[in-house]
Amino acid sequence: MTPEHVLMSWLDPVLFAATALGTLAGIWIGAIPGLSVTMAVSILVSFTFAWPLEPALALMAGVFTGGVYGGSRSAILLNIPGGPAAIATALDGYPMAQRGEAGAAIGLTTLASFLGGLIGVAALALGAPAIAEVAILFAPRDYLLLAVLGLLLVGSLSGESLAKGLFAAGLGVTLGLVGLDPMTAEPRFTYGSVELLGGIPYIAAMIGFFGVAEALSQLRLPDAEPVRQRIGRIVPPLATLLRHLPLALRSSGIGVVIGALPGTGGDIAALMAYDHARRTTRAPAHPFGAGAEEGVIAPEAANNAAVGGAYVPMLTLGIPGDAVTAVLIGALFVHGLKPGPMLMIETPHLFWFTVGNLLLANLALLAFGLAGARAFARIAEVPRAVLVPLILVLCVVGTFAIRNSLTDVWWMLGFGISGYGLRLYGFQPGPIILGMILGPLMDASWRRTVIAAGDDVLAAAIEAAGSTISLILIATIVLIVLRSLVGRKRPA
Amino acid sequence: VRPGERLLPVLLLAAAAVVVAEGLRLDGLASPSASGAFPLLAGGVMAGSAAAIALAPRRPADALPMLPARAAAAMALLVVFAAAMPLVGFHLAAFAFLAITIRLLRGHDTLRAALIAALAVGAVHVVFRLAFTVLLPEGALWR
Repeated sequence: MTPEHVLMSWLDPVLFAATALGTLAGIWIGAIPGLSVTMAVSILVSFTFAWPLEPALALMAGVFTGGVYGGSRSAILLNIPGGPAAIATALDGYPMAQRGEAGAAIGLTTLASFLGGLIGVAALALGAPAIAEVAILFAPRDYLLLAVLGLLLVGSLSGESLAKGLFAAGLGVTLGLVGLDPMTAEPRFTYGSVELLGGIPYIAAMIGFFGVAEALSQLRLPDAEPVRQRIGRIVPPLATLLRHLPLALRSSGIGVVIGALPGTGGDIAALMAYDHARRTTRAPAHPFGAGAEEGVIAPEAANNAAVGGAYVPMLTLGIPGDAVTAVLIGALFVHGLKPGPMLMIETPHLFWFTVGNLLLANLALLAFGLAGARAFARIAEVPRAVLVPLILVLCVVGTFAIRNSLTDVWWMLGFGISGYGLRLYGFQPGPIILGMILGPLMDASWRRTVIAAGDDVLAAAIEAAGSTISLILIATIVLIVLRSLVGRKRPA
Repeated sequence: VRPGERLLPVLLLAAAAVVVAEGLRLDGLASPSASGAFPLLAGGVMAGSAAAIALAPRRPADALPMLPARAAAAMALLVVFAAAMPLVGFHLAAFAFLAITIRLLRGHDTLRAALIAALAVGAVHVVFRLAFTVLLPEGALWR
């Protein structure tokens, strides 16, 4: 390790400014419904193509770190996750804001994100080669099982029943499969429409189901004065921090491992950490789903830890850990680099520069996150009659901005209005969106698994039974189903 | 029980049947790695879940109205906003939508509603048009 490379972005004013500004921009962009961190990185990457390499990497690391954290702001204040990684945060963050504790929720998420981010960076620095070796052991069936696990978690966590959660997940998977089959180029669920060949944009669906449907659902509630937010204390008391520290550490560990798996990212990490928190927390002050502090700490620690984790396969194997690192890999190629094992051997200074850079981005996250918390918390005090129309306009313009497409806006409105109806009957949007995102991965993993077993499902199952990783995942899935079934039968 | 609760499982089963039909069309039963195999699995999960929903005891509805007039009005205005955007441009359509909807929901103070709408459209212009260089619709009528 060369300290001068780790400290490069700390000592160079341009690199320092690029990291800090990137983090600040990431927080604000992530907090605006419709502007996802993937979109922010994609747009900013195009600005940096003419830049020298180091400032470009510094800016992108800042935007990534800040953006993942920023998604929690709109999840807490508006019940609209800034991105899929903040879906779990909304489950308890929003009830906290409705209780007048938006400031406390933001303070907790900031500290959890900071801690998770630090652990992610430490894992990247100390364990990149080892983590990459574990990640490469995952077979296609393990990705399939991991995706099933993610859907089951979100399906069992949200909505009135597991059956409704599973139906929503199945619907989401189906929506994710619309378009040309990537293996055979056969159109699926397109019914002759050319528009549908490219698939349904999941960000438009996410904005519709979460943004429009939630905003319209707010209008079902009777008029009431907005909840006054108690924002006197943003930084939680030391005793609270110490009480939640073990959970934050465990959730960060989950985030690092899930983030390091190619193709999975902060979204699944956050859901798994949330489920872990729900299973391991004895007697929370507020129940999960009704504003439990543990329910915001666990996903936020995990999704920011997943940032460091996602850099592991990107830098060591040249495989994207999630959508953002896929964009970053493209940017590295534009800058003449080839991510993969040779990057670590030929340009080790860039690896250590990235480590130092991510560390700085996390410190910037802490500073900007806490400094802006009071102003952000006031958003929850805006009267519903003003906030709802503003959210609806943001949803329209945010959707349009993805591809400058009015068709996407109509998709978003369709999902929003149908999402309003689905909510009335106890279906939640989380499983639908996650199903849309994971559907193509599940389809590809399923087919690779059975093809590898000679098109024989039984042979594939026997192979799975012989793999420790697969067995652990299968056992976890069975446990979740059993627990969900037993839990529903117990009287409340 | 919510209105339409009895009809819901029928609609869900119909949706599952559409997915299963597409899976069968794509030879989902012929081979487990066929294009239609995974849609068939997804349709099966949907059908199973719909059956479980049909058999589960009905939950009592909440006391809130299913579709209050102001939610219906906001939906209608939103659709009009999206339809008007390519004609009159984003800025004018968004301003009109915000001013009318805030006025409608707030019940008073037209001037204040217009002021909030103008400020919001200005902020959106700065963030999306100037900072992110998103080409917001300008309106076919003004070309």
